[in-house]
Amino acid sequence: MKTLQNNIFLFVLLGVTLALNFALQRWLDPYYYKILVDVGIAIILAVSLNLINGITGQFSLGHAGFMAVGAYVAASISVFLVQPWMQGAGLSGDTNLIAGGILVGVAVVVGGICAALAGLVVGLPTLRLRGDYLAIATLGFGEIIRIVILNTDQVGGARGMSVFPTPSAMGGAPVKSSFFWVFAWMIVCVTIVARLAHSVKGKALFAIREDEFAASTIGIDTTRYKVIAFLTGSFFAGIAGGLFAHSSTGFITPGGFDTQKSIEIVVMVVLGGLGSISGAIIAAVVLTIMPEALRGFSNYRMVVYSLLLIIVMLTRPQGLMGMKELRWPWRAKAGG
Amino acid sequence: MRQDFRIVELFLQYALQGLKLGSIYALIALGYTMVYGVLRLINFAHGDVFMLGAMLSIYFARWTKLGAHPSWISLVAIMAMAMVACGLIGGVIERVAYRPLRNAPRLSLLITAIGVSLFIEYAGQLSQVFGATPQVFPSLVGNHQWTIAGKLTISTVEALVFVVAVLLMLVLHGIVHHTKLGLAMRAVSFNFQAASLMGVNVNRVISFTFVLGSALAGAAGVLYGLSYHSVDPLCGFMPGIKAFVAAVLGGIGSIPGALLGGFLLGEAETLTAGYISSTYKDAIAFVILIVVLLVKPSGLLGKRVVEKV
Amino acid sequence: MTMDAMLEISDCSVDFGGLKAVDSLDLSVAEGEMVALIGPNGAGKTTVFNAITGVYRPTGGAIHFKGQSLDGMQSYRINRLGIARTFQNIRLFKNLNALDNVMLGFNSASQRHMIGTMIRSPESEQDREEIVRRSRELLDWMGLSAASAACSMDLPYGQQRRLEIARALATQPKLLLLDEPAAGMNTREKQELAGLIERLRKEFRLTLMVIEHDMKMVMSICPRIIVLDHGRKIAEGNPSEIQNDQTVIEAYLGEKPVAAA
Repeated sequence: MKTLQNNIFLFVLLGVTLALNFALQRWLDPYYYKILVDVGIAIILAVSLNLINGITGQFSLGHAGFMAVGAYVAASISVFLVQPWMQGAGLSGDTNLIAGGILVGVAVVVGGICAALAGLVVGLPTLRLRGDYLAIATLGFGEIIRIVILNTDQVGGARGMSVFPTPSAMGGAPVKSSFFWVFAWMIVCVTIVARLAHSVKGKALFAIREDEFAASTIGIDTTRYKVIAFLTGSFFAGIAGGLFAHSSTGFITPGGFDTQKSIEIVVMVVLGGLGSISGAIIAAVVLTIMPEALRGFSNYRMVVYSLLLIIVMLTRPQGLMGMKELRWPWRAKAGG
Repeated sequence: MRQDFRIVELFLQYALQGLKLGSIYALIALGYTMVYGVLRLINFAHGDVFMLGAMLSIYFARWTKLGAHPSWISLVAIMAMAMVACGLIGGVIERVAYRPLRNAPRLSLLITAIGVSLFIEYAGQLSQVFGATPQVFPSLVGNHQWTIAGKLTISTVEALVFVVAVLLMLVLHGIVHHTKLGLAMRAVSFNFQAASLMGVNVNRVISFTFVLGSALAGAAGVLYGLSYHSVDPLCGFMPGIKAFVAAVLGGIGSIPGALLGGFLLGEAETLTAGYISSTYKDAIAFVILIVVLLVKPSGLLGKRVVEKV
Repeated sequence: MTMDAMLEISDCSVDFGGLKAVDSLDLSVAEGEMVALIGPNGAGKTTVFNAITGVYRPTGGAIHFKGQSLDGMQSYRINRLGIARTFQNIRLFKNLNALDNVMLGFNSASQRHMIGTMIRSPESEQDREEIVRRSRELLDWMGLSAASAACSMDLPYGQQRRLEIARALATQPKLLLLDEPAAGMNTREKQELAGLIERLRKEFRLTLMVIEHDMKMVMSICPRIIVLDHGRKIAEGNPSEIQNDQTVIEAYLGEKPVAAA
């Protein structure tokens, strides 16, 4: 009961999201709706990478690889299991939003779990590497994942994979990652990462970043915590991947999960402030909206990002927010 | 009997290709290894300096009209220009982006290096700069095919790439081991602080290391262009990362190690492409990297370093 | 060598590529003792601490704590057995505040599972409150209660040293290793520290090993002193014995190479 009370705010937030979902689907221009969904996915990616890179200080350059695992697993479940079943049962994504949403939700979760397992496989051997070696090793793993997908014909190889079948085959519109599902996952991701990082035990993640060796001399099993960070981070990267696969066009290619994608997420985390969750959120929002808002900017987007990276490192290496967090004003004193 | 012959022949042909690719990796790896030696930094931008070497050569050849007259003189002239240009660029990058962070956490330095790399790649893709479409690299030197031992062929370029790589490595070895500046480089890579206390001008040494490494990358760029004929602003990223793998494989900080690592990686990739699948070619480097880091992080010829706590 | 030794180092060596930082060292510390480890710079004192806490694996010999071999054990396990330490060059979690630094010391003592904290279960909230309370107690003990919210990096030097001790104490050690706790302090601060160490020892029933260069402080608080030079033990005894030991005087003044002794 007490537990429920402690989380009441969370449930209210989820309820609001659900209510908003119907309002937005009805009245919001599809173009803006798409951007909103993109923003939600970007936040999940940035916050989950922030757990690994910012909070735990383990510089990973392979986040897009885990996203790819989640995307392809979720897409495969959707295409090979869920859709044939729905078709057989005469269900359409249009009319059975909830049922379809739950089925896709399952696909997304399984994608997340597979990504977490991939994170474990990557993490266990590489986590004893330090700094830049870890960066290169994770970059390598990300590339290996991408190349394996590229060579798997069942999921389309280099041609890519279409998650949504033609409408006629579905007998209606397919189930998409709706605003609700994306933002519900975003809320879960932010909550878990924030509570983990600021809990008594989870503070150990910051300790590892600050001084791994000193942390181990006060009884902190640093490997275990690094694995937890990696598992959690890659799980949410997988979730983001699954949601992405089911968003807008529903078309994924291995090329969409290359090192450049990983670096884009890194840019969000660095600009927001390594270790600051609200910083990562702000950066994810701004960097997702900016290219859409400024027409003709897309050519210069990466040039601007790269300059920002250099300038931020030279002038304000702690990023926009440093390690500070924005808090709900009414909770600022409580320090929750 | 004939069948056996063909198998051996094919293998040797692949091996020759591997040697060519490996020579290019080796030249790039030298720069990584030197910079890592003095700064403990993976200079992510190094692969992009290599790309600039290839890209700028196209423009140099156009402006000097040397591209239209293939000869050994054209080749030497263009290569010299590319090396000077890349050396300067490398020096500028160090001065502008890395030096202000000399005392910052290594992570800041790494992120800056990623930033510089992205900047070169994406600024290069702008239509006002090089444009995103691949450009044709001029044949600076007459390319003759020689047949050696049966059906085995080797071209001028293949031989050239290998010879230039080994020659430059010998020159570098000479500089590092037989000049005062080389001594200073070794001192800095051994112990930054101590070297500076001994009166070594650390900043100058680091600048010199960048210039030298970048010049080698410039040369590698020219050889790459000659070998593969097509150059675009993103073509330095992967070779750059792989050359780093080569440096780790050979033992980071070791000059012969970079060469050995480069050749081994070149062979591994070509043989994978030849016998397994060309799509897995890019994965093999990373598999090697991870195995090396797990089994022998100091690499084949590197020294084991005790981390001071 | 006594049977009731808490820490028993026997014939222990640490090699760094040919250089013997610690050379066949025998050393034992009984429960409740307060032992000083002194010696010229580079004598291998910190290396001994590093070997005990699992940073370096000894190349020869053995280290036992309460009869258990520490060979090949990771640092965090060694800490959980009851050995904590501070560092010569202060290694606090710089960007965290003082309270967080101490709370992290309680990390392994906290029994709550992570899942509990994720869903904010009442048990995990209680656990947190309890740890905050105990951490504040420790900060009070070290005279740092006013500094609890300050970023540890911004604290004055003397307070950083005390904070590091508080963090080590939070792990509830039986044996505490202090590596130059008074370095960089002025005379008054040193006196306060000496008094504090004495009180801590009684309150927390600690066994202490201290590396310290300030001879006055060492002589005043440590009944037993061990002198190292070039990785070897060259003398052992009470303060007056050490003060009059010819080998020790030579090692410090460098009149004769000690290897000949």
